[in-house]
Parts: sequence; structure tokens; C-alpha cells
Amino acid sequence: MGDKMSKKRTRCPLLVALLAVGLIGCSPEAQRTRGGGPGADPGNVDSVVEIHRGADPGYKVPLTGAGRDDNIRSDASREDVSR
Amino acid sequence: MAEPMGFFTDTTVCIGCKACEIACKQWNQLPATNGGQNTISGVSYDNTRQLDGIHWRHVRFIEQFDTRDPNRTDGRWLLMSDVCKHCVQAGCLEVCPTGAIVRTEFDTVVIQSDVCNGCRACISACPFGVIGINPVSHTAQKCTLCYDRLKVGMEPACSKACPTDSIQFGTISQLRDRAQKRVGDLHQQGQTEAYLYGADDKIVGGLNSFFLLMDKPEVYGLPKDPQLPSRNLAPSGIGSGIGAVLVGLLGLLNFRKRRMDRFAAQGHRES
Repeated sequence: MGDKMSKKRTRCPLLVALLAVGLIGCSPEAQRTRGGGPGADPGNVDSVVEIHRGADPGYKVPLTGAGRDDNIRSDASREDVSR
Repeated sequence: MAEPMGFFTDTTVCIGCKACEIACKQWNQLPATNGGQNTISGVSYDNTRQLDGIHWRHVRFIEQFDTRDPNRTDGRWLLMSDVCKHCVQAGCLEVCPTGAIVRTEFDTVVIQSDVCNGCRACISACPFGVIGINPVSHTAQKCTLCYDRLKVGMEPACSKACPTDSIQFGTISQLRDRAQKRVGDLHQQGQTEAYLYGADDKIVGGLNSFFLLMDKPEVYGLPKDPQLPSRNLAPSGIGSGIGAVLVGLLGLLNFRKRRMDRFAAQGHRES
């Protein structure tokens, strides 16, 4: 009787662990619908996303070489382009 | 979440001027190809060639000419301004290990350059081959649907620059209506091959950048039935499980054989 109980006790966490491993494989992205929540997004941003300096690919990359002054990325230059 | 926003690209009115490419490069301050020393592709008038970390917009030139006909009477050009599709179910977002790829309030998918570690997992996960490494930042980059412009109520640079309105920007519901009307018009005019790619939910849950095409998707370099990387999880998991059981069994058999050999040797010594 005691043996059966202890066997059941060891089986239970094993099954839970197997189920957890199985569920890790289910992607929340695969069931997502349009406008339907974050999906696989880890949610490491505020509700309004703040991307550092827009989409600047040169973020924190020092600009060097000839014509450096012309290459300085400024918000003012972005404004010029938009008009 | 605000209403999903996106692009509707009507390829029938694209003239291949590449104004969208220029506007994108200018607004996002993307570096020139090969330090400004670009090479000619040699196979087409298109020298951009592909979408990657420094080309977030690419106007594809599809030149359909029968080389056997010297007069080229039956030839046609298909032009399509390609871009990140901002998938409703995004493969890149699914695999990103650092959480650098986020979904914005406009339902668009954006890579945060400062969080990306350049592992390239998203490059192989994207079924459209959109993402590339930017040689300046050494991180994965792609179209952000001009997130910085959307936030201040401006439309993306490419659609703003498009002279023929081939690229249209707006809410998805609005764009879908417009696109369906356009397909209806084209069908009435006899262009029955016109259809929408990605406007419905069949392709990875829907594309927030969808297209009006005049030929099969493969002709435009688009996959017919793109899939998420997670589709491989179940079969790979089963395969790995079977592999693990087989290796375990082999190990057990090996231990058993060693034990039997030892017993046999002992018995031989005793006799």
C-alpha cells in the first residue's frame, strides 16, 4: 500500500515536468490573430515602445573619418527630410 | 493597442523609380552599399538586389522576356516594392533569444538595435528573407514601418515618397477595402490574374504589408506558403525523444555486455 502511494507521488511531478516541457514547445505566436495581443513578444517595453533614437542603425556607434560632421545624426536633419 | 497599421502595395502601378528606397535610406540614415562603391548586378537594371540590413525597401524588377523573340513583343516588366511584411505571426519575433524584437502598438514588428546581440537567428527564421545584418551596428536590421514617424502622426517615408501611390499606408481594414476594390476593377478591365497576397489570414496569420500581384508569388520572390519556425518543434521533439531512447538503450546494452563478459571471465578463472 505504502509502496503504491510513494510510486504515485514520484510519478506526479514527473508527469508535470513532461507536460511543462511539452508546453514550452507551443509557441504563443502560432495562434496569434491580427491586433490580438503580444504573441511571443516578451513584453520588455512599456505600453508605448521607446526605441532608442528611433531606428538609428548607428546607435552608440562612433562616426569617424572624412565628412564626419556631415554624418552627425540629428533630429533636425530628420525634420528636413520629412518636408 | 491602436488599430493595426500597414502597407498595401499595388504592383500594377509601380514604375520602378526607387523613390521609396531612397526615402527609406534617407529617413533611417542607412549606410550606402559597399561604402558607396556599389557594383552593377549584371543580370538586371536592379542593382539593389535584395532586402537586408541596409536595404529596408527594395524595388524588385522582374523582367519577363522571351529571349527567342528578337522583337520582344510579348515581354513585360513586373515591378514590386518589397518590404518587411510585419507578419501577424512573426517568425523572427518567435525565435529572438534576447527579446530585441518587439511588437508595437501599431501591430508592427520592430528590432531594437541596442538589445540585439547579432545572433542571426531571426535571419533564418524569416520566411521572406527580409532581415540582414547592418555592417555599421553589426546587429540585425529591417524595416520598422517608420515607427518613429508613426508615433508623431506622420506616414512612413516610403509611402510618402511614392509618386504613383503604389505604396499605400493606412489601417489594415481601410487598406483591405481599397485593395479588394482595386482587384475588382482590374478584373473588370480584363486583368483576371490580379489577386491579393497576404491580405487575408491564410499567410502566417496575415501580413500587415500585403501586395496586389499579377503572377505567382514565386515570380516575385515570395514564398507560396510561408511557415513559422515552430512548425518543426513537434516532429523534431519526437525525433529527439526517439534518438535519446535509442542512445540510452545502446548504453544499457553496452553495460550489460561488459557485465556478462566480466562474469564469463570470472567463471573461466574459477573453472
